[in-house]
Amino acid sequence: MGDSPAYAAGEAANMAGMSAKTPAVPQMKQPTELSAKFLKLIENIPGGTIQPCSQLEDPYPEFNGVSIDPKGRIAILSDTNQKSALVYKLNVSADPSSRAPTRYAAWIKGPKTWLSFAAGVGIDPRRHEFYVAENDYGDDLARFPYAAAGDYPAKVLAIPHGAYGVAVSDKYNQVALSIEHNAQLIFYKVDSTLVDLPLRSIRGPHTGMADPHGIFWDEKNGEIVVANYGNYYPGEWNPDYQKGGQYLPPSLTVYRDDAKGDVAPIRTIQGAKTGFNWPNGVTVDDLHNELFVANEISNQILVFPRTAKGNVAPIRIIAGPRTHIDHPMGVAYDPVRDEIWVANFGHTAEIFPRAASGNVAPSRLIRNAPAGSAHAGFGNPMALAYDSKRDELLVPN
Amino acid sequence: MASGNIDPIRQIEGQKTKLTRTAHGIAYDPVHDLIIASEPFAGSIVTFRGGSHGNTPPLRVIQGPHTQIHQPWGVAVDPQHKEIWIADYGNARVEAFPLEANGDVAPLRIIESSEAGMRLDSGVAVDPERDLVVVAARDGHYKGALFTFKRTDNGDVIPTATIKGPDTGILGLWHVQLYGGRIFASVLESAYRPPYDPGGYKPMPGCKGPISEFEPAPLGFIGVWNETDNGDVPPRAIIRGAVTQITQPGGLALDPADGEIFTSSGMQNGLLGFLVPGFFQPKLANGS
Repeated sequence: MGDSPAYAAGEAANMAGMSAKTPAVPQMKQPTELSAKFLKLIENIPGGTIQPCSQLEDPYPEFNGVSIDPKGRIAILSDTNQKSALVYKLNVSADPSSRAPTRYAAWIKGPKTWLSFAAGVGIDPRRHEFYVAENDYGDDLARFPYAAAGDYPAKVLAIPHGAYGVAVSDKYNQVALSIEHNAQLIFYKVDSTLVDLPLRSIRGPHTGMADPHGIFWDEKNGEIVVANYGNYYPGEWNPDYQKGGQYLPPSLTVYRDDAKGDVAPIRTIQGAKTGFNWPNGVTVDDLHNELFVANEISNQILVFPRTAKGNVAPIRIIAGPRTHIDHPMGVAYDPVRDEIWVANFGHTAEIFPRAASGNVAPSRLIRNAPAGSAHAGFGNPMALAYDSKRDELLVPN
Repeated sequence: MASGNIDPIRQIEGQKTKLTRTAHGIAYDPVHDLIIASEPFAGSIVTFRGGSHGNTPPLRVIQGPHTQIHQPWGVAVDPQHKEIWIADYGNARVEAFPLEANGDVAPLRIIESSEAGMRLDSGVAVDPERDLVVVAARDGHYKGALFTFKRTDNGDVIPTATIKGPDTGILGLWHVQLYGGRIFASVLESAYRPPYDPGGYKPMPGCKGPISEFEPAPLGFIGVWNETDNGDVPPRAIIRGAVTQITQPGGLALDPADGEIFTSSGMQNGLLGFLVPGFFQPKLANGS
């Protein structure tokens, strides 16, 4: 996919500072006030303080990532819409027939939390802390104690742009992040803050990573699993890269958890038989040696043998209208209750017995909105077009 | 536009679509009924039929080393001359491709401006009747600026006009649209700056930590200028203020027939629509 010597040269150049061709925006102090003359001038021009004639937004959370602490008996779900994180007790009462929002244990939300485009969630069960990664605005990893609630002041760490998955290792005292933009895993000491430097990274053309999303740190087996969408283009951040972008098949790639640098995965699951369709969250059941993948666009949870590799079909699929699985983004396994948690990009999360298969109803269903609530489905919409033929607005997310 | 919280009418999504995250640009071609979107994670431009939905492959994909695309953001379409324009955020340039280009094709024209220090090009719009292109970008001092070029310019050129300065109210910009000889711009005044270098290796020199989305910053706005404006010129019309609900606008779309302007924002995670038919008249209310 790439040229190792050229990549290394690019890496050295970046480490030395900004690329001469495309300097990043420096962290210089930006003006915080507009000129008094401008503010006076605009008082007398057409327009001004006009009320919107229409406003389209979803007032409820949209789930994204999920992580659980079976012994601590909590589950944390991130919310990209209301910029928050919701905490539920693992034994939360969530009857699927109930149409009301499920009672949460805590809702962490507000400017002090640093939560904005909240994506992956990782839990540190020994320190009773959890992490939420920002996928866009913020470029931070926010850390909270289990007891956090409301506008809780997070401890924050600056991280690269486009972080998604989060995973914590007790053995290494490290937290790992997947970074979409650079196709890397980057590792920090667990109590890192502000501009503490990373300890290591796994990145490079031999890693097979391509737009990595969900990750899982399998400490028992000494491995890290990464779900990849397949979009690959170092030129997006490296202006000296001359080889053009690629659409690679989506995949799961597995690495030794002590790896660093441009290392090949020890296993790869990839190919048409997998059924991958924007594979997102991933989790490992190291008791039964199974691997679960939130297959977002196909509305499925795919189950593979933990050591599967190559072009293989899943051994089980949870999918169908009875499951309520709809754009699953996160998945987590509870070994104490032998249950699978599925977080959808929307207003529900479902809990199934681990061995569930097919079009089965969940044993519990968590709602963050009344049943039947619409879901506009926005995820950081920063572009817009108007289709005059159909009188429709086109919104990429 | 509908209001409140509603489900989308249709969605284009899935592996076959070749859509990626960070789609900062999209355009609709009403003459040929096409949707064109930029995909920085794959270094591509994808074109769909206007009525597409579901996990459907694009009609065409522009991708490859000859395209010279690096970080495609803003997208514009010129149905009259059958061209697609891309604002390349990472390459400090805008590029024009044939509308029906497919595969690893070279751009027809590339416009950059070292003289003006144009960089971080985020938005682009084209006026095929007046034969000009306007780019929302930053200048050599990282201040937001609207650069105007002749549509047929090619190479490292000097803009025919530059709108920037304290009287413009522009600290940063995102997208731009053109209609009836006017420039409509989403002026994004956010204090946000990525703490890490683009390669994701380490924090930028002098960085003390991440900058919160909630960091205080002046309110953004939708600003309207004339295409003939040049220099430190205040907007001719504006949508700004707490009542507008606009904080830091991003996406920008015009519906001149109905007199509406729409804007989207990641900060609010939603869309706003404004009924301003006067903005599309040959003369604004104050005669300008």
